[in-house]
Amino acid sequence: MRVSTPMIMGNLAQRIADNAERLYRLQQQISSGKRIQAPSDDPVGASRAAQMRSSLAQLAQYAANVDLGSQKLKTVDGLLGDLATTLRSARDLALQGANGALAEDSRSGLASVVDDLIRQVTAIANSESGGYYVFAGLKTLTTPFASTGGTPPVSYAGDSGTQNIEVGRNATIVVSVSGDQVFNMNGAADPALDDVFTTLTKLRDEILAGDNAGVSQRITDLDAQLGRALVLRADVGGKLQQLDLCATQLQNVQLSVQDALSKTEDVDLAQAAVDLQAQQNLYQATAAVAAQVSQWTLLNYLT
Amino acid sequence: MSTFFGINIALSSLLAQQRALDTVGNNVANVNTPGYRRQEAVLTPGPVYPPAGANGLLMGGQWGSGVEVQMIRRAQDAYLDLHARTVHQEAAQWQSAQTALAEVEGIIAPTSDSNLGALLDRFWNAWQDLSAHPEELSARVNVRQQGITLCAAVRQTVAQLRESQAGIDLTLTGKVEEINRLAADTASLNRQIAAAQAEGRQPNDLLDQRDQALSQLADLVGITAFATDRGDVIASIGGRPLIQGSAWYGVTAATRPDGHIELRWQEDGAAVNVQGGEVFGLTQVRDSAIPGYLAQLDTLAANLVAAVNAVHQTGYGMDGSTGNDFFAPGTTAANIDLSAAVLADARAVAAASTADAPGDGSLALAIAQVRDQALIGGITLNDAFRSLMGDVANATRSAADTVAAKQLSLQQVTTQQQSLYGVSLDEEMTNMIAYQHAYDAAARLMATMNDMLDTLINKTASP
Repeated sequence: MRVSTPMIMGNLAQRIADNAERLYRLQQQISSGKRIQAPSDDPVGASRAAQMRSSLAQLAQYAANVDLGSQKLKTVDGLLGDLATTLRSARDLALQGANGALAEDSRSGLASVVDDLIRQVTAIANSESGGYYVFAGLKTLTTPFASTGGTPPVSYAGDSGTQNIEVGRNATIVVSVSGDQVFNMNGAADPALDDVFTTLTKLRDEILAGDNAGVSQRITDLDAQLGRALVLRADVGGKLQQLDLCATQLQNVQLSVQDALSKTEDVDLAQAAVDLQAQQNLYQATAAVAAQVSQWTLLNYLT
Repeated sequence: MSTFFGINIALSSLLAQQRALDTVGNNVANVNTPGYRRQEAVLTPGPVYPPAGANGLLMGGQWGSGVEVQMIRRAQDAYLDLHARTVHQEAAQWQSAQTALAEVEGIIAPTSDSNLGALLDRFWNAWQDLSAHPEELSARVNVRQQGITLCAAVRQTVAQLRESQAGIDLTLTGKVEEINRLAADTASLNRQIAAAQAEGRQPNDLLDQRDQALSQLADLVGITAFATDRGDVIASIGGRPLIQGSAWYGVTAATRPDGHIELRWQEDGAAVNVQGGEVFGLTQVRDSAIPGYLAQLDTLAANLVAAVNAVHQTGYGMDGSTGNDFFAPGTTAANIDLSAAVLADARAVAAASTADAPGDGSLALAIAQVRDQALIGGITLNDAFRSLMGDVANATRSAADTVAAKQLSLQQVTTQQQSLYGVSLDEEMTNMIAYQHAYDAAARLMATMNDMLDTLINKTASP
């Protein structure tokens, strides 16, 4: 092949430009830490990376939901615990009140303690968390329980709705218990049983009246109410465990997705450093050749 | 046979070597001139004396009468030039397409966290958040804000894609002037070349200029060109002549019904059937790539609006309102926005499935779950965005790969042309020495003739 002067120079310029471009790409990859600078660098990888980033955003939201659900359920758990304690105290009082030999003032003393317990239970029933009523069903802005002074002694203004949160794709978990379930308002949980307030109010009245048969019926009722509260609490505890499990699983999935994402779009620094060195060597060699080539000409030997 | 015949031979050589040296000089001077092709002086023996039929027998045969320059030949390979133009126009076509597509890729799929996919994720998460805090106004304000951001980003993407199309229109309009100028130049060169050749001259520099102009035309619009026997070049675009001898037919930039620019023949207004070069590459991106992406964005937007609204209408806002749309219904990607009700008051954002239940976040959850619904041909909205991004990335990638391949052919053909047409300084120096020595020898011949005449005239004079 005939070699012309512009051919030598043109080819060298092209090679140097090619090398410079490859050097630039490697430098960009290393300085940004990303193998994929634009989706077209690796369309398949970029698409997978986008999907994984989307998954990570979803997983982070699920994790936040799980946290919030745990908080809500812990509040419910605590309140149910308080309710159980109060109901146990009421049962103890009922046992004392069942003793027919009690003097009238002892009975009225016991009755006023039962009144205190009723107020405690009402306070539990109207508990707020973060400004919202815990046992109002979905009507979380309405005070759910109010004394009527009649029968039933306390009315329920909430509803039977429960709150759900999503903890995984289409996997929801109930994170609230409605007040009518907890306190058996209008027999929502057990139609054969009074609501908690009626039970306690009857107990108070029967202690005052010395109605031993009534009081022993209330002890049975209180056992049933306490049993229900404990079942609800066990249920809440079970859900809390489930949420804990969810949180751990979400963390594991997040880690593995993060790892896969990094493998997909991050640059392998060791490999990139080796490539960069090789490219630099090539660049230097090309530049050296260019410097040499321009010295070779017949003109050097003509005088 | 004249006594001065030898002097004339020496003179012919002096003149010929000088012209050959001038050619060397011209080559050396133009070693770096783009489009310059090396020339060489073609030396040929002078006419023999006496010519055939004259009384050659008496003279014992024919004598050579020295040397003359037959022509200054320009290096040329018509097939290589044709091939080079094809390679050039393909490379130019894909190069311009790749540049345009890279811009589109930057618009649709910026690698930052602000691409539509990331904004969709944030939008769905805002609904999740609302489902967990259904009583809170701030969660609704957040949902609304994410909705506004998402809508603005979709509209912005559409606007930028259209700007990109308009940019291509502007470029095409600019190219029209360039095409007409080059066509006029080539036609004028055709005329000058024909005139020079009719006079028996060798218009090398004009030929260089014409090849340059044709090569630029090929880059621009993709032409097929061939030379006629008369030395003219006929160049055509899509089978219709642009340049024919000294005539040329102009093109003009006309606005199509869809508002975009197309090239038309000035003569009759017919569309120019461009099949190569930058114009073709850009037109392809503008007319097939970008509209495809816009249609995908429209599908995405329409499905997002319909799916979210369908759920949202059944829900209840914090203000007790129901039946509200979340997005303004019936919008496309170009004008997607939130509904007036939601824009006016964030409390209209529905989270509850039932009336009068502020703690109910089930509707917000149902909207968040739209994220995982297969809405568009079996895929989710997020998938649809990723598929759009994948399409753009693949198109850009494949254009880049094609450019790389075309660059390689281009490099190859350029090397071939430089090998054949380029000036080699070493070669020129060698020729220079050869011509210089020949010149020296001719001058010495002249001196010897002079001595001989001196002997003849002065030494035979009477004392």
